[in-house]
Amino acid sequence: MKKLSRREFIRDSGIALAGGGLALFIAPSIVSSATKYDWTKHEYGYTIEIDRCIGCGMCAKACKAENSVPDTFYRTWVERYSYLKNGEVVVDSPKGAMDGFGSNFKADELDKAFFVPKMCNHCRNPRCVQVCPVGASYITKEGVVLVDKKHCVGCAYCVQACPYGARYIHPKLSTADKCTWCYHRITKGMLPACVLACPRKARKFGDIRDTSSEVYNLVKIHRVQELKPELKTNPRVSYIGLDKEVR
Amino acid sequence: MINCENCHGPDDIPVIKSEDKTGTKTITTDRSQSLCLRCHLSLPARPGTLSTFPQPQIVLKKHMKGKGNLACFKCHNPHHPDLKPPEPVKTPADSNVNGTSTTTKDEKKTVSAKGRSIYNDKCLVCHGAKGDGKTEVAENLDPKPPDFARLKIGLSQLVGFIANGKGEQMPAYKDELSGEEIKEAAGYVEGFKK
Repeated sequence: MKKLSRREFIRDSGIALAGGGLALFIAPSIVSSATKYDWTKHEYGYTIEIDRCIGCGMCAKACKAENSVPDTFYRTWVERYSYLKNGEVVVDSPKGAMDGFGSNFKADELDKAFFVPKMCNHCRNPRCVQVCPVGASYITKEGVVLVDKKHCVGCAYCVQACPYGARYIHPKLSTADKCTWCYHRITKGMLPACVLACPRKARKFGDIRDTSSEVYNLVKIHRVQELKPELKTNPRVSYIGLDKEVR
Repeated sequence: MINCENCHGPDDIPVIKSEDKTGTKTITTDRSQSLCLRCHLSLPARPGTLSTFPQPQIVLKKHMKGKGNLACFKCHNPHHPDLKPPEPVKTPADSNVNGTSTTTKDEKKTVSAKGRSIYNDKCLVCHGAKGDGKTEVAENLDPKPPDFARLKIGLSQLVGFIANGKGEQMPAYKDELSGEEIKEAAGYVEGFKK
């Protein structure tokens, strides 16, 4: 074995260190450039077809499991609208429909009845973002409205401001919390848990910039509605088959 | 319906847990009914068959009339390839959720249980539960699957067709099924002969 002088040893180890450091520096950018998600390249939309929803509540169940939503709070839920023959409208949502619905009225007492799944509408003009005093509520470049848990102080102004009742204060984290469209999944090309769980494909999610996506085409073919359009929140969730009595 | 999550749930795989401690895959009638009825119970708010996207719904008492209180999978196979339950079997023998059934004393011909399960798994989609080839899938096939009731060929030829395929539409199964399995399936198909 050739005997190394001190100078040679220091020179060799310096080169090795520099080489290794360079490799470590370059490697992440090579790996990530191949798989890096570019949030400026997507814009997401969501459609809900009322005529498909059977109120099984698998969406609420899946969301709770996927996002560890605390008890008695829901990021998404299903409401049942029952139009009685006397003109009254009864709305119920037992445990957010997580365990499904039981029967409430008989068919001969009802004029009409249907289910409406609801969730955060990820508005284009969100009230929650506007009222947040610390800027913890923000919109991503893809249009997803999220809560920065590090900066949220739990004042609940956004909970109050949301006209859809989509937000709540997380009992353990003491921050505002809401549907994130499963951001951790969609940025990896997967679907939100609720979309995947629906057995009737009532819920659809996709990139509205992609003209081959279901969401883009549904909005194009059908006449779509939104919840509470008079408030001008400009929601991203489009409903197909929404009834005039739905609040 | 497209994926396993729709029934098994996101965190409950398998949501159909064994109800007894012996570890066998038996499911109680109650459990089976509550699972299936979660979507298929007839509720006034559900769109039902009049909707643009019809879905079969049942009123349990009417559905079970004359059959007693059975678990849903006794007649319907929830894992049917095209996720559409086949016609209820005439003699609901003891079956587990995978669809294998044991024979009962009522049947005149001894039908191979294994042959039936292979047929239900792989062949039923195109050839139909009665072997008559009258299925939704068959409408798009050319040539169409034959009616097995008018079968003229013997067992060895059937084995050949299953193993190597026939014509443009019938695929070869020799890579998917073992020789024994093909023989069982052929035996079951021969049973359709009148």
